[in-house]
Amino acid sequence: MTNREKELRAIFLAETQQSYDQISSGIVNLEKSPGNEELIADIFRLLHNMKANTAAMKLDAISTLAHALENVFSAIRDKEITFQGNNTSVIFRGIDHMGYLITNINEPKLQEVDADLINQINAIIQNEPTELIKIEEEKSEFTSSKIHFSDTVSISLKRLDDLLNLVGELNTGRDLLVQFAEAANNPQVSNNISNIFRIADRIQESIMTARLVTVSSLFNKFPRIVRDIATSEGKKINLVLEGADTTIDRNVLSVISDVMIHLIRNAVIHGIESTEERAKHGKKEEGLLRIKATSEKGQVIISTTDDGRGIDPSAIKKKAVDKKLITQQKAKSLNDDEALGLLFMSGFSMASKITEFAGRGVGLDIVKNVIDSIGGDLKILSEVGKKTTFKMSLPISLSVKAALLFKVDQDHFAVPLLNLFSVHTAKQQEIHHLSGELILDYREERIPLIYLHDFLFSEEPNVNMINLRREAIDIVIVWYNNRKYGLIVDQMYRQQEIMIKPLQKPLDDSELFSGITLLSSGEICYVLDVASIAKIYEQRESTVQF
Amino acid sequence: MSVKEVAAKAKKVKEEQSYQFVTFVLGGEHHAVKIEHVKEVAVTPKVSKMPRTPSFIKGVANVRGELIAIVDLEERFNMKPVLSLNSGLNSKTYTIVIDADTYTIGFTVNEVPNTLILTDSQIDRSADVVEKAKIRNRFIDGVGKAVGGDLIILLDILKVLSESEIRQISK
Repeated sequence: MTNREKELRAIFLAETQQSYDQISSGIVNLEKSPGNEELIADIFRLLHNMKANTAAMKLDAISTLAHALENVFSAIRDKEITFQGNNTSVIFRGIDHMGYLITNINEPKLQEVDADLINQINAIIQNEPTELIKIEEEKSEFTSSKIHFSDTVSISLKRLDDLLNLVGELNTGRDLLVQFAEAANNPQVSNNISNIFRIADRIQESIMTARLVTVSSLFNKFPRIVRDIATSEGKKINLVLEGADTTIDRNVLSVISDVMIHLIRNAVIHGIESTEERAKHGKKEEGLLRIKATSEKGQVIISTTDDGRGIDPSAIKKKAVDKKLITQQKAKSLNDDEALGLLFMSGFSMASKITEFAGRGVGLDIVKNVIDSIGGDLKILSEVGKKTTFKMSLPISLSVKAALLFKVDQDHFAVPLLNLFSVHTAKQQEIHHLSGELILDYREERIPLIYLHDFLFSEEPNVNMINLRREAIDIVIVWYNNRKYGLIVDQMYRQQEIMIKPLQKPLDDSELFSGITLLSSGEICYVLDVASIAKIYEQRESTVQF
Repeated sequence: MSVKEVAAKAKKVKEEQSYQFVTFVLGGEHHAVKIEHVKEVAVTPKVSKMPRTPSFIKGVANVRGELIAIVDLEERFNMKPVLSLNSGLNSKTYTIVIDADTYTIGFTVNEVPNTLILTDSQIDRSADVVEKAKIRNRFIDGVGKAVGGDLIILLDILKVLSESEIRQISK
């Protein structure tokens, strides 16, 4: 069994024990007020779940027993029989036996169906009272006076957040100690501190892992959703799910669940062609929708690929120009990938409803915003006539991220690695001025440059370009919306895991930053929000052009 | 005054409602805020300026593990700074941390803040001067008189730093 399976089993056991306790106390209460319909409904529901869950885990003895008892309570609920007299003792005996089986759930040899007991329970429904008297005399051998407690506890996310926050502070203190130890040059102190270092690391890891869930809880809902949409659209879709056991922060998963459904809907309704159209293009009648999750380098990638008609970049450009979202000039300057990024512009989505790539853009700006809000990224890749892929890069955790640190002027800043494309040290001649804009000539690509010093601290863009007259210029190239941007920084620092604290009031209005982190030196480091920077840059650019 | 008289006077003072304040100097004038709003007073740590915020927000500082926005009240009140945060990089300033319901914020002062107890009778909330000052400055709660005879402006600090106020100014 993998660790994950063990964990799941522990959770299952805890839940089973808990519902057993509820059933058990429910029946005791029912004995006091036999007519209580709410109690009867509760017990019925719990038994029903117990039957289903234990059957799924192949625990037949418990499942069979739960089934028999469920039938009894179904009959009680429908007022065919009443919970009273002699039959209560059989029910109690059944419940006791269930408790016995659950307590010994890890002992396969004890997991046997007690046919005699099942028969007696079934007899209740047939109103056969004769045998019951006999049972009443028997002492139930399953009850034990030992109280069983579950091995797991459930904990609120708020508490986990608090713990994670405290661990962040612990780590800051720890890093400070490491520096002292180096200065003190005392092997004993260094030894002790490296021990603390290791422990703090493990605490952080454990707490982070405690928040992780597998994406399967979300993926499991897709077959039904795809089936429903496909049926109403009269299409045949083969859904392929991969990497359902990839783990991700529970909060991230809940944020993206609506987004995923939107992308699936888009793919089935607009991406994949009708059966006739597919036949005409020599494609298989059945459309393919592949949803795949993988984790790499501290992030989770979820991609949704359909083998539909694809999206034509030139058609998008034309539409964007028609709608006056961008100028003709600008449209010409965009490469195919960047053109696909136009789908995420607000205003574009509404406009695209009636075109041949109908609806591919509907609500995509909202999808994009949701993913931006958790510091992720969404890219579109497409081959006309063949396929479209929506690729989401998501942080595994919301509060701890791998980031690249650098300095602008005297202050520290960071960008999450999630948004990073590469780091480049440019020579003077690679940087060009084009009517007030800075452009980097980089591997056959022209990337717009943002001089952070001016962008952050001065009203006018690129005023102090004189500062750029240095031999080597450090550039952090980031991704946003299918487009690359180069951020010119004053001094590159290092890569590191950072604990992000959200901005507090009254500074929480700031869009430029997704939070603050404390460096080991005690200094403050602002975490830049790449999405906001790109948006501010684009807005400024368009006002210049119009 | 006899011992008895002194005791009687002290008793009278005791019976009156009294308030405790933290006093500090802004723009050469004495100011005070109610002590219950003050979380702590610390030597100002390094302030990292936060880009694209109003200039009276000096940035964020790490005060005992908490990341707090630092405000320059002299700038906020358009007072002539006696010694601004920037010009006095080498001199020690103190940060008074204010704990409001929804936010924590700090503001810097140049001299060590003091505490002061004032009774109701020592606080003037209605005098002409106060009224006049109030028109110009809605954050003034009243004027108090310290033992040495100094007049002290009592600030309603929660009003000074209300979110809407800051947002208005930042726009």
